[in-house]
Amino acid sequence: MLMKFKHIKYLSTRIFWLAGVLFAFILLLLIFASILAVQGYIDIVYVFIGYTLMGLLLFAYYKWIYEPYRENAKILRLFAAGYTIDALFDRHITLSPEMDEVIQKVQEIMETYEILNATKKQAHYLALQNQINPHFLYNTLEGIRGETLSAGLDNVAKMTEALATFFRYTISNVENLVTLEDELKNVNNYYIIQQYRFGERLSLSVEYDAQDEIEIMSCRVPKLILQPIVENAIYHGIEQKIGEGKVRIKIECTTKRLIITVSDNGVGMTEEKLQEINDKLRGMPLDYIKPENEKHGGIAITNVNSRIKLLFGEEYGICIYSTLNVGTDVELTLPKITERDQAFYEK
Amino acid sequence: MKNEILRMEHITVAQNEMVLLNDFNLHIFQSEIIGLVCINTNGQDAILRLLSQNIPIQYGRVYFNEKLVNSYQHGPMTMNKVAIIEQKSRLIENLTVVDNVYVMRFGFKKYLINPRVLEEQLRRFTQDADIDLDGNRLVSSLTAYEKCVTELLRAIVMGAKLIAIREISNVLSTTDLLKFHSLLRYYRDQGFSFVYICSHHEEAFKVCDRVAIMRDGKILRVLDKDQFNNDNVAPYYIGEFAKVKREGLSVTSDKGILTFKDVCTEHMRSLTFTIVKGESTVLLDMDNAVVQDIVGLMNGQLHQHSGEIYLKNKPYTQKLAKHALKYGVAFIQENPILTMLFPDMSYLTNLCFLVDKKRNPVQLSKRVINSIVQEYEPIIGNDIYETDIMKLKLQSLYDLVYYRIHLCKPDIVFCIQPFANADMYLRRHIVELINQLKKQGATIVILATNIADSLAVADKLIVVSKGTFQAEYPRDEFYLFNSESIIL
Repeated sequence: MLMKFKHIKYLSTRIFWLAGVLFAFILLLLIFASILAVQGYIDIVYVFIGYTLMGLLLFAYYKWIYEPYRENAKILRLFAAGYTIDALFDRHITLSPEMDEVIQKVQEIMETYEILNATKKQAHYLALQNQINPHFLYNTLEGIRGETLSAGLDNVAKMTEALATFFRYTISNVENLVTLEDELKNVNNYYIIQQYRFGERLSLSVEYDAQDEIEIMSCRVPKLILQPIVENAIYHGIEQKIGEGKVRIKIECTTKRLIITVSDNGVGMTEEKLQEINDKLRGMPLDYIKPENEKHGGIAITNVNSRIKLLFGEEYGICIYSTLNVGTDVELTLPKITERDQAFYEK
Repeated sequence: MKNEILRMEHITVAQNEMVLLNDFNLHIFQSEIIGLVCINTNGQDAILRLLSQNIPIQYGRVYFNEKLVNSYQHGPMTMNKVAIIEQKSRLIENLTVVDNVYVMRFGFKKYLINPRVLEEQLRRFTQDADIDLDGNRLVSSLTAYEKCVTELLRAIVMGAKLIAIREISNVLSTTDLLKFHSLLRYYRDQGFSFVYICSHHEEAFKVCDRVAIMRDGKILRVLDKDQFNNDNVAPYYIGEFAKVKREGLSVTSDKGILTFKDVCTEHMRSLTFTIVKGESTVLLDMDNAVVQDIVGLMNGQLHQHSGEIYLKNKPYTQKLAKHALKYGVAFIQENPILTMLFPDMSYLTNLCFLVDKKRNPVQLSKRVINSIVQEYEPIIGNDIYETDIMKLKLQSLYDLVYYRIHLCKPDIVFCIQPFANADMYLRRHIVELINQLKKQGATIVILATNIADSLAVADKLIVVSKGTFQAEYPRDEFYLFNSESIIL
């Protein structure tokens, strides 16, 4: 009771109390009118009309006020819990014009943060590019490769070539979307480099419906979304496992979506850890705009998830299934973007 | 390119502060049978409700045919084109198959019905799918398999995009199940999609294209066809069974305790087999034809047309069978919680229910009850004092059923489909309870229409097909059924 009285400070509680009192009052009036009608003082038709009107009023109250309020409250709760951002800006009925303005302002602020953040990231890329001077790097690696080839060290040459190609892909062309084929080639380069470390212990396979190969390979995806996940699978899954490690990339394509599953048979993770990561991934990319996250630097799963959600909306992203000592499946859901749609998304 | 029929994304559903579905993700393509193997039953009902109707959810989105039909923002309460087939038939028993398929469905608006036209339409469907079903038969006269087929046909005629099938192996025999599976495959190839909900991965592996393992309303892993093997499921599933210790033979004897010799009934054709004392025997009835007859013969409700039944080498007549418990024969019915317990009675009254009917009957006095409490309290715990048994957990109710039989110290116990409707945790518990009976010296006969987990407690498997003995497998040949059941 005390708790309920505490809630009286909220306008919503006051409105509900007042509406309750009002309806109780009308009901009392109607009961009184019914008694009078039974005694023959007033016509029963008026009482019937009264009850009908009250029913309509209750229905309107439920549909116009209670239901939208409940939906609004739910969205605000989910926003507070970090589950959604989009829904906050996408409400059909709002509490008041002022509240509407406040939410618009929040949206603007968040967008500014996002732009700032994106700019910062781009600046980091540029700084990195300037520091390294890609052409110098590629030329050096090519030089090493030539030297090793002439020395008969084929393996080192192959590894250097993979490293050069990997850097070329990672550092250059700071564009948003690339073809899935390019992304897979980069993963393969990364795999070649890792093979020198893991040898026969590591295997990578890519599976898709051969009939849809051309369509699948030409799909556009954000750059560097697969390699970080494969890297995670190797470092957090397979490296700590005894025995053969397998990484499998499965690609499925529907009329509207691209579903990529990266599976490993590594050590997996505990249910608590999995819940923690999935909770992080399920929400909107608020973490992405938190400055402390920049400390971690590296492109990890949360970063890939944030990029997907920021680019395409919160219905896309990453979901992880994992079991301790069994392995981990990372499922990426992306919109199916063809060459024609690319310009729209990059804009 | 695949057509996505259903996509459930990050679904969270809670009821009375209990989370039924927790971050549930699942996508189903057209022309696909996806298995949903439930390690426990939590969330099963919630999924089926959510599949058929777009009810409000706490979080997540549901896409049907790539269109958003339900989300946490708004649950429109609209219906989806989903049909559900489960153990409890949704058909109207007093109507014919044709009426059920064509008339009793959404969207049927005709006022004048020409039965011949409908029969002809049904005939075309049954012919195409090679189904032997007479459209004029009343549903009440159909077998469980025929009812399932009728429901499937209704779903197909209704144009359901997705058909959910839940735990049907409990009502279908092994042969019927195989036939039903081939029907599902036929309609899958016609473009229909299915969610096959069951508790046994072996069953799902036989018919599904992908299998999702669910526990506590959450998907743990999705397996593709090439990953269908016990090793991949073991950590979630068989691992629990590994903790169960197998009970050895209670009495090492080759003496037959029960013998059926050329027994004929309406469904039995010269059935002959012997149950060895102290052994656990699974009697697998491939066609679901003789289980009820065996029970009927053993409890005196049925008399054989010919042949002999011997219990402990003495003829077991219908007259003796009417007092089965007195002669050391006990039964644990299918779904015992519904069929064997009295909800209005206390735990103790339920537990002692048969003590005055057993072989050495005792009158229930305060002293006897106290002695029973003293004996069973250390095993059962405080539940023994419960006055309202409906407050108890499912496992405790199963304890009550099995310990009631345990208290009677029977020589032979017939368990009818003991694992039907039980999730993995409950099945493991039932295995332990059967082992308790075995330890006491009882001979166990599991009457089953599918192997399920029966082999986990069995020493011998007897296969009966078309009412007659077909084969007998000792324990060291159980490896032949590796793909059918968990074997300890």
